Amino acid sequence: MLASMNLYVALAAVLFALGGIGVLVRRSPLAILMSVEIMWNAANLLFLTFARVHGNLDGHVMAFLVITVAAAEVAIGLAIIVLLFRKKDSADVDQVAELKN
Amino acid sequence: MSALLPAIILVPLLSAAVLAYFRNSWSKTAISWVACGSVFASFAMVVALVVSPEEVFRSGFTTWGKLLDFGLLADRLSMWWMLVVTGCGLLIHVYSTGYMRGDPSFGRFMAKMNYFIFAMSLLVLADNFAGLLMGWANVGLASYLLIGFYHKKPAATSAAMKAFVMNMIGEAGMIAGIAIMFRVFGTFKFDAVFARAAEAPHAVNTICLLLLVGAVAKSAQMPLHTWLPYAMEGPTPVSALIHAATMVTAGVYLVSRAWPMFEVTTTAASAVMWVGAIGALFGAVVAAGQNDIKRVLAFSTLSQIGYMFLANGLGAYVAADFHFFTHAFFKAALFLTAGIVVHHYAGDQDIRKMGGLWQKDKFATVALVLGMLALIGIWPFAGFFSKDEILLAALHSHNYVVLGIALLAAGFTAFYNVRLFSLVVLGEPWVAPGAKVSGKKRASAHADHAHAEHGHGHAEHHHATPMAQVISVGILAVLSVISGWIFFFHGQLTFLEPAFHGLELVEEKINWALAGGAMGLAAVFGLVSWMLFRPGGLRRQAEVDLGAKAGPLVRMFYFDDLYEWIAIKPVQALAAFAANVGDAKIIDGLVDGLGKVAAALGSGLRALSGGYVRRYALTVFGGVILMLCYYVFYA
Repeated sequence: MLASMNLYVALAAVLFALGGIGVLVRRSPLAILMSVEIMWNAANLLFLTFARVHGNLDGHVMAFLVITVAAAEVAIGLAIIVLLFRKKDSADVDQVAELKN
Repeated sequence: MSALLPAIILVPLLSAAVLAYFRNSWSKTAISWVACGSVFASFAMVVALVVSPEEVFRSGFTTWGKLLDFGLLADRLSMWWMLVVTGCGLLIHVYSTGYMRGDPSFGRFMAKMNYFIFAMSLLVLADNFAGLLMGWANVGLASYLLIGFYHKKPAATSAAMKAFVMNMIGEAGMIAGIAIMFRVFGTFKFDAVFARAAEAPHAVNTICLLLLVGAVAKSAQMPLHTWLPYAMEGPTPVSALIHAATMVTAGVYLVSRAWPMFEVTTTAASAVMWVGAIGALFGAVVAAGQNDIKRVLAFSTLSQIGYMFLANGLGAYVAADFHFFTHAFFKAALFLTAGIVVHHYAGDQDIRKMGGLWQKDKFATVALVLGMLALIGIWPFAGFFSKDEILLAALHSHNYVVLGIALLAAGFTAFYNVRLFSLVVLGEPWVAPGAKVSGKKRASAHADHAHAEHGHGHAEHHHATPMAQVISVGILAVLSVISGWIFFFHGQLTFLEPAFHGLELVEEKINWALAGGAMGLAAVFGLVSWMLFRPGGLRRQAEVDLGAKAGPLVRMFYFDDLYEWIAIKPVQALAAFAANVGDAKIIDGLVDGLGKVAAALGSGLRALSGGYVRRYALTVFGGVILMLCYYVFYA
């Protein structure tokens, strides 16, 4: 059990790092959103892992909450992307640098 | 009767406040009545004190803890001075109602004059040195306000500034002296300090020398005299009241008042004597070279106050106070007459552009001549008796050098008076070369008002002098003849004796050898002056030459240039240094430096807010990682 938990935690860490790198290096807003999704799910994976370890349902509850919030976030994120695309005619987050300087 | 003391001070102050408030809303007649009425009330109260048999009046005014027991004191010395301050002040107020009536700021002028009467009364009636200093500072302020009365005239404002700064130098000395006095004696009260003056002669000597600094500045003695000639920028009644009759003699009052202290000193008393002797001669010599009628009179004031200092330094306090008494009348008469005279010459005060006064105004001529005879000291005019007492004091104390200087000064007094008389009264009225309309040119502001008032446009016209002016000048001219006659029954000695309790006073008889010598010397100098400056005289043409180069006499022996170099230039250099280096480099450098540091920090931090979303995200991640590191490795 302990060994497999470490594996799950390690997988979650890897997913989280991949998601973070994706957020940092990708310039397409869609890809950034997907990377954020990966980070959400790394967190979800940890919740579920520890729920199994502790043998209760608290983690599951949190995972559902995360899925709901993530859905809402994606909805807002996509709306922002649409507006951004209308304004800039491109889907590059580096074009959105109005706050520079 | 003691209850009158606060009233004497407060009535003019109240009137000054009321007039200042209503200066533009009341009619000029109402202002005149209130201003003169308040001074008359003070004068009447002083007379009531004088005629009452008591010798000393006291009135507690207020007490500030143990530090300052502030009260008023009218002994015979104070009363003597108050008689002149309020009496002469009243006449000059009356004169002003005529002289200044055409001025749009008439109310302001009268309010300031009343304020001066208040300040001078406070100075004379205070019963302690702190109160005296308050009066001293207030008369300085009144003098500043009145010299700068024509505040749109740059010369007047800078003259006011000059007078104020010079008096500040004196006040710094006085404050130091009074502080030492408090340290030594623990009190400011005249009585307490004088009673113990003999205990600490060295400290008293220092105190007296510091007080002398204040007296020298206020009384325009050498070397702090340079403000007085410029103070003549003020209106003529101001020159008569403040810069001739009363305020400038405050130094004489201070020494007379502090006589028990000066009696125990040696250096301070002889310093007073030498200041006076040098001032008497210097003033009389410089007066002979001045071309402005009021400056001639200003230097003659300097010279006459020198006589008073001289007498004070010799211990002849009664003689000093007597000379103050007569001088106030004849000098006020001269100044006020000069005010009338300059109106006849379109307000131009330059005596080179005068002449022929006799044809223009016989009254002014007579008043001028009476004042001059009193000033020269011809028997039986007022100045003769008081000056003779001073010369006698010098003779009896065997200070023959000082006596010689005083006699020489008397000679020069005659010299400049005859010069003034010749240039102003005799000859033909001056005509500007090649221009008939020059009479319309007005050099000073009040001439305009006078012209507007009388409705005359041309200098050639004879002015009807307002009755207020004629009456006051007339009274003063009569006083400058008869005020010395109290000598015949030793009035000044009998009156002032209680104030100099413990001092041996001698009843002086006229020493005809000395008096005759002084008058003979005056006659010789006067004759020389007459030969030089009478119409057709040897120097007449050269003297009235306007293009002549200003010599040392006209330039007042370069004292102004000296102060320009030793005081004004270094201060200006210091100011320039402070402005160009201290402010621009150091202070601005500090402020700019702070700005630059903030700007550098900002441009460093700006890299963090590049505007790229990815970079913000990196910041967040970096922060999270750093926090993790902290918890993993340190917590």
